[in-house]
Amino acid sequence: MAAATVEICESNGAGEDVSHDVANLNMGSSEETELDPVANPIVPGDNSFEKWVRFHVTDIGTSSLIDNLKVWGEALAAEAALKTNARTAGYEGAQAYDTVNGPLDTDRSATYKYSQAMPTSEPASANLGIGGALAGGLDDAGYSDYLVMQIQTTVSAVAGNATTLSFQYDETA
Amino acid sequence: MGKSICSKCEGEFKDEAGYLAHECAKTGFKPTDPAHQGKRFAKVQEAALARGKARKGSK
Repeated sequence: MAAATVEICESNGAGEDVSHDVANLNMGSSEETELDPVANPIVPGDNSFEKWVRFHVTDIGTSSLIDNLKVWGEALAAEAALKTNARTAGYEGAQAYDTVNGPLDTDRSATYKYSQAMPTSEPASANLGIGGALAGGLDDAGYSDYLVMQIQTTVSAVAGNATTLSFQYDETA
Repeated sequence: MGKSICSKCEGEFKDEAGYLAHECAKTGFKPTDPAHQGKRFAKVQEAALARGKARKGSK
């Protein structure tokens, strides 16, 4: 029996370059993968550039299903919030990547449905969809819906926020 | 869709098929091989399978 192989991918630029298996999802004032947050800080009161991320099954092995995707992270310090489209109820479906502008640092949460606070503990059920639905699954190589995220700050925000994001999936042999 | 980039070896490919077929200069494995993810990935796979088995058993 061979289990599935998975990775996290990030999309960037209007042309949507896809960086596979990224080492981190550092967010800041630059639209790039694995950015240096010290060199690219978010000015208090501003937003980070959006992150557009997908869970990618590169090979399903001998398994039959990947589903129940969950994502969560430790809370950021006060005056900064990690917003996302991930949610366990009222999921708004798969968001379409902006191939005109790419990710931006303006608040487009109303358009791309990332109005939710990132959960700070494991959700009770899936909060990121596959094929536009939380009940969706992959029975072969493929991608989840986009996880869209943005850090939004107030003018009182201080430097140095860090959180560990956790991704979890279930696999049926 | 733009290019596909391997974040481990920084190889750039015109499409995803090229990325999936490449043997990573950093890990020595293709991205479809669990070994590409490192030794700790086996624990991730085990945990995912255990959750899937538990859910299947509870239905």
